[in-house]
Amino acid sequence: MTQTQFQVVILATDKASGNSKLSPIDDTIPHSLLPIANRPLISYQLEFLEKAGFETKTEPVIIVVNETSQEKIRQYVSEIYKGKIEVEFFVLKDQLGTCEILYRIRDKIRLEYFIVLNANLVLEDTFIRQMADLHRKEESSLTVLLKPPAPKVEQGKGKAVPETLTKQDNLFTDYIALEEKSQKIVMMEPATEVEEELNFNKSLLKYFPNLTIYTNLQDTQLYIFSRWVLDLIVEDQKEKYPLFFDIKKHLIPYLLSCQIPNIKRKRPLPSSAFNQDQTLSQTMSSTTSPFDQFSELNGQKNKTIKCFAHLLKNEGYCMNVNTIKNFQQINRDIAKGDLQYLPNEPKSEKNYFIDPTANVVPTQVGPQCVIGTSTTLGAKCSVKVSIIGKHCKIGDGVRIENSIIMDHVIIEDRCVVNSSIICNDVNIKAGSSTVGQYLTK
Amino acid sequence: MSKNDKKNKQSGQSNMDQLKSEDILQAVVLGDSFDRKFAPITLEKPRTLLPLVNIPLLDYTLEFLAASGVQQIFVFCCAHASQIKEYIQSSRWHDLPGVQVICMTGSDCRTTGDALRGVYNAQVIQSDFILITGDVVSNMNLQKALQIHKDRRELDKNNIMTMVYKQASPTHRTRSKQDDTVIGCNRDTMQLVCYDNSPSKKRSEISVELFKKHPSIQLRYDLIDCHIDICSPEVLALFNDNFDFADIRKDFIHDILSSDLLDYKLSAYVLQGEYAARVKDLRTYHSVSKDIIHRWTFPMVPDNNFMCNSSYSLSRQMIYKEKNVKLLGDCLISEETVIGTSTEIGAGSIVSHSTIGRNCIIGKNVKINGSYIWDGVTIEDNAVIDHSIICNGATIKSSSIIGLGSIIGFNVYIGKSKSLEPFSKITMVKYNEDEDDEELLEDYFEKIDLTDNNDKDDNNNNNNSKFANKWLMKNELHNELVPRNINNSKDDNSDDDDDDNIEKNDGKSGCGNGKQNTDVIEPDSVKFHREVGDTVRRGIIEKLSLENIQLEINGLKFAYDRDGLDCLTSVLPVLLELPSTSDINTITPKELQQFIAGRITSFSPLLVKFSSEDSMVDFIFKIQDFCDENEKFKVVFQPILHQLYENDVITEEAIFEWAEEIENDEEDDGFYLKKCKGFIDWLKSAEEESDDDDDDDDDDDDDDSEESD
Repeated sequence: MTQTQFQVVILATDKASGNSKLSPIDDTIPHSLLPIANRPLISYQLEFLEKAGFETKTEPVIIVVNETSQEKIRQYVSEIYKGKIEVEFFVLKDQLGTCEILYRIRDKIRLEYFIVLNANLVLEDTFIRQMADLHRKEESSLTVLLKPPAPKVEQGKGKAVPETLTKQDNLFTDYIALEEKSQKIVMMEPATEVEEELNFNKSLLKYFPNLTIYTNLQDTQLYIFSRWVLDLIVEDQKEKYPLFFDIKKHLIPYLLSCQIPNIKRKRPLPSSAFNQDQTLSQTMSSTTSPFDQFSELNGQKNKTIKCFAHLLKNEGYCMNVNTIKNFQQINRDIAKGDLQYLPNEPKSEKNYFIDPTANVVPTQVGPQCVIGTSTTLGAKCSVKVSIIGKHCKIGDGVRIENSIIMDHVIIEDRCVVNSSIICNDVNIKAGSSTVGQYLTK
Repeated sequence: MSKNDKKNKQSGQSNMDQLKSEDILQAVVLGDSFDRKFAPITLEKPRTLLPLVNIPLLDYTLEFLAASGVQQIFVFCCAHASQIKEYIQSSRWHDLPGVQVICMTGSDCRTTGDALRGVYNAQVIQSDFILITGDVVSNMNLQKALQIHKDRRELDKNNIMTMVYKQASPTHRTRSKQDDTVIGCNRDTMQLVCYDNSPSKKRSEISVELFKKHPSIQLRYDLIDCHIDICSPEVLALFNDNFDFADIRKDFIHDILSSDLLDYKLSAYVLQGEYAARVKDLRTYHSVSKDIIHRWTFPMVPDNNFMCNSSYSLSRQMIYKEKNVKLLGDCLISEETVIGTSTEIGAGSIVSHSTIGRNCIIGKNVKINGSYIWDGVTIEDNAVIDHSIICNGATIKSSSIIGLGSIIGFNVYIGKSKSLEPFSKITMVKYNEDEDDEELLEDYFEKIDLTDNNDKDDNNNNNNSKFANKWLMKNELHNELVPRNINNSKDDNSDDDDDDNIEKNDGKSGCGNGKQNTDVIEPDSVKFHREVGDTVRRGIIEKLSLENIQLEINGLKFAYDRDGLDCLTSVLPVLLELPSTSDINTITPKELQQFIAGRITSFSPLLVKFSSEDSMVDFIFKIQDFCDENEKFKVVFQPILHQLYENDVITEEAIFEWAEEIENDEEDDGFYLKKCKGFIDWLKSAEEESDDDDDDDDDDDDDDSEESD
């Protein structure tokens, strides 16, 4: 399976929305190199692209990085990464909005469609084919990947406690409106932008009279765009006051609003937005609701575009590493060993991963643990559901549970580490106990 | 007759009385619509008895209920109750086996709420029942909806009502113009979480709070309210407990949904494929008629003769004719036409897309298109009738022309060669000062001479009795009887600008009515005004809590059947009354201003309670009137307005609208407008600023159109 029509842009800048929220643990490491079960985050994305079959020989994957972090990421990709994906870096010297980044790299995007992928995303490739097909078949201008809430675990007969939105959640919650039948996405409004009430224009409701608004769908920040969107951004950048700064905050709401015919637009859509040789059969087959037949048949005339959402339905793992909670969760999930992605360390029969060079007595290690290269564990240690990085030195009688320990960490004798994250080069003195803390050097 | 009925015939009647009341399926039919959508016809006949394709509306509703297995039907009549009773007595509903049709009367009822309180007090409803208006045509499977309601109630006994909705596009023909409902419901349980029906608003809002309880809300703009509700007895009890509930849609649903105390739940049931529609206004009268003729309502179609008193048969091109129809000469009956028995149509006449009742006499070369002609109408040669309703017993003399969308009332006589302008509404009802009905105002009537000018010998009757009245209720000017495409092209491009126009028109007409309402001095309104004044005065002196004052005024409001605007206009002058210690003649404008600011601010929670967006403009005019009467207050008009605005009693939109109307009003000298110019300019500039702010992060293009306005 190869995807030859799609070009991939990975936004690995600090400011790409949703990143750099993991302070303090990503203060010293570039976000893309955060270890997830002893592998840097970016390795999962490259593996995803490879498995999904992206052809990158002629059109390499573009990774947008900040100047400050470029060296380390470059080093990883050129020296350690062994996969087939060809990568081209675009180094950002100043802080730019995501739309402006697209504007800068417009000449590098030559294919018909392009995918913008946030570097905090870890996902399995099972869905991508369907999503790409949806995009092409429906002549979508923008296709968004959404993640439905995890199915609730039945807890006896007790009533399910309604999920309330906390402030922290608010940052990652969107009001997403989907049309019932066609899965067109009509609105995506970050909760932070909405104050007391959501407003719906009746002219919108007229064209999409059966909407469902979700607050429990998560925007994974993987978007497929058609190339003409770049033309729109180019036109916009020519203006004195560009409207589009951020993809999510400005560009996407604008594209979604263009689905309603006869609406006044601040920026006209470029002619490339409309497929010139649209055949009648295509138009007929894409008619989505009886209410906008007219606009569909005259799509050309009315200059409307279409945007779709692809919902992940238990068809693969997907996680945005944008909170510490998620970071811990994904580490545990990968260490379980039943996903498509596995730690680099070999798996043992007892379902733990220990590097051959590590100096470890296997009985000290429980299932769902990962232990990296050249790490040594002292006598009478116990490690449960935890990840220990490379070149760590763990003393005697140390108990580690439910924690993530990065590289070159020294933990002296008789320490207790529970539900904590210990970053690179930290030194924990003998006999201390660390519970629920994030330690950095 | 349906199978259900036949079954009931055997088992039902004999042991009807012995049956436990819980086992009987009951329905409440509201025999009054509590509106004036069919005025002036409804001055003489209740809406439920108006013929729809030559069969009274009530028969469709009763037939639907009977066919669905309802065993006991309570018809609650208010206006023209005797007519409805008489009709039921004389029709087959009187002694139909298996179904008991019982009339209840509440002649003093003014709202649906009153009617439901009446039903509650009669204590006849024992279990889940069907609440339906007497003008619904439907062939839906009611048992299925009932079962769903019962299942929901099993799950959670707080599910007290299931409302039936029909899926149809926002521009569907059976959708009334007043029907602009946006419904939010839980996608899985169909529990209603928000309900908004405000045709004048361009937007619909959903409070963010709702999402805390419901992570996903389905927003439906494609549903038509069928006015068929399956209710549990609690609904009636709730109406009884809340004496201020007037309308089931506006008050009851709104209150239940927004109440934190009551944990009652309402649900929706969406019909697909089945037919259900309410004859709500002329537009829906027209479209439901067409639906019946096109057999969407099967088995309720003319040739099924379900009332057992007709003899229709169907021929090609959807032409239904009863026996004994006389078509003379080469008259042309074209598609979608229904003709009742003993009707005679003369040579050379053309009848198309029309319904003609029984015993009509139609002359030669008459052209009838898209019209509804009821029983016993005489139309003489060469008359032209286009998209109109002609009621029973009317006479239209030769060569008359009845314009688009007209309504010709009962027994109206229209003389030779008269031509009526489009959308005329003619009635023989006269304004009667002795009449108890205070809503019938003289202003609605204008005498119009439609008798023959030259040929007085032609009629033997007393000439005077032939003077008709023209019905002048201006906000009814748009006429839904005329199909949209004929009406005007304006309707079709539903741009935002267009909506604006409608909004303005509504506002103006509403204002006109408001003025009329109080210009005519009626004892009740004066009494109400005085009592409210006393209440507020006492409240000020005794320093009663605002809640108590509000409660008292609310009580008066319902006792005298007043609206929020009346309350406001009664409350405000009292608030502005100076305490007896200071003299109106010595006080300086500045002191007065301070006094007003203090009073309005402290009483604003009370004012806000009675203020509503529809009446704000009227309220400003009232203030203007008040200032006219009290010379001293003329100078503080602007401060009053400002204070009211600051305290959210009136919105800036209302102020703009008021200013606009003043500007357009040539009679007004613009005194008050000049006073307020600075204030309005300030408001405008404030609004523009906030709009600009919006633009930066919000790409919604409507802001643009508003500015360009």
